[in-house]
Amino acid sequence: MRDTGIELGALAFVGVMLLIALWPTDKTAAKVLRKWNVVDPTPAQVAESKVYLKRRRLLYPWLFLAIGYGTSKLLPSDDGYFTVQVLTTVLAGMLLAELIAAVRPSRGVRRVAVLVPRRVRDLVPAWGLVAFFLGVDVVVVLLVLARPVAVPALVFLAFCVLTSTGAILLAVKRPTSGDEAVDEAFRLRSARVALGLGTAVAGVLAVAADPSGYAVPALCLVLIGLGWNLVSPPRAEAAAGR
Amino acid sequence: MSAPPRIVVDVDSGVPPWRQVRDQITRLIVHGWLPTGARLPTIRQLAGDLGIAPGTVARAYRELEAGGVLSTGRRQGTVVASVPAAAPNALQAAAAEFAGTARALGVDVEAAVAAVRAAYPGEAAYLDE
Repeated sequence: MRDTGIELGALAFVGVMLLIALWPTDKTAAKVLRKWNVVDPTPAQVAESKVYLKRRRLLYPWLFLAIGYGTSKLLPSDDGYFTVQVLTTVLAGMLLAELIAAVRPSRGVRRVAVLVPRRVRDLVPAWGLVAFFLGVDVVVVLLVLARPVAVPALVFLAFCVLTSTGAILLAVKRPTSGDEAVDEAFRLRSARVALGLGTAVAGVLAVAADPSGYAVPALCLVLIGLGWNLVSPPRAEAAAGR
Repeated sequence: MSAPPRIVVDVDSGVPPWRQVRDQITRLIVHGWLPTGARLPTIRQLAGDLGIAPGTVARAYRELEAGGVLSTGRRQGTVVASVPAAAPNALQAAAAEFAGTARALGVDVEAAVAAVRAAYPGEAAYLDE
């Protein structure tokens, strides 16, 4: 049996700690921009980056509480899913932030648009999508074949697939806002982090199927490795940006 | 690498946004910024980025399709089909539109020209000469 109160308290604590640890400053906002290929960010770009990051970070404590509460009500037992819960909450935060950005209308008298179509494959590599969906398929089979069937892991996996794909699609579809370079950088970051995190969560969930053998932990490590690779900006662009 | 082509819509300019979109796309094609075969964003993407209704962008695209400048296919999306021979200058374009509106109102040429003269109160005498 679990203690829902303690669990929710722990999740809220993680949310607040993340908020404090990741609260953006001028330095960190500029660092994020440089990492995502904005070579020499101007003070205006840094300020915009700070606002963007603050808006996202402020969602964390509430999301950790909401998802923790939802999990405690929906799942019979979620022992051992704390890490997954933290990662899926971060994913849900990304989806929610993208949703908010998608419904925020363009304001101002002069509105600028680039005449280039945006596509999913401009933001995430094809191999990443293949790895993600292939990994998810394998993990689903493993979880369904496990005895007893790992229902909480399947629920988390479904949630992870929905939030990852949703965040990627919204990163493509949401309207542009503010500085073009900053917008492009954060769009790329959202899509790649959503895909990378989704792949890593699928890997972590594979362990719920059969933690005893070698094959499943190996699959888990491969998916986490691929996820880590996806979360980084594309190497060629990053090098060109320096 | 050259910067990607972009358009600007000024919602306070008095020129309907669909015309601003149409004219700027035409200019970009004529000046070679959008070569034949170049793909354009979807109506939804462009409307979202500009903060205008999708119908407004759809009208601009429709006008350009009717002129053979753009073509839209299910697989390829909207692409530049041909380069307009010569871009009409702003005055010609405005005159063509005014003439279309006058015709739609059932007004003949004389009455339409008289209306233009009346719109220049200070210079009416000069125009009459």
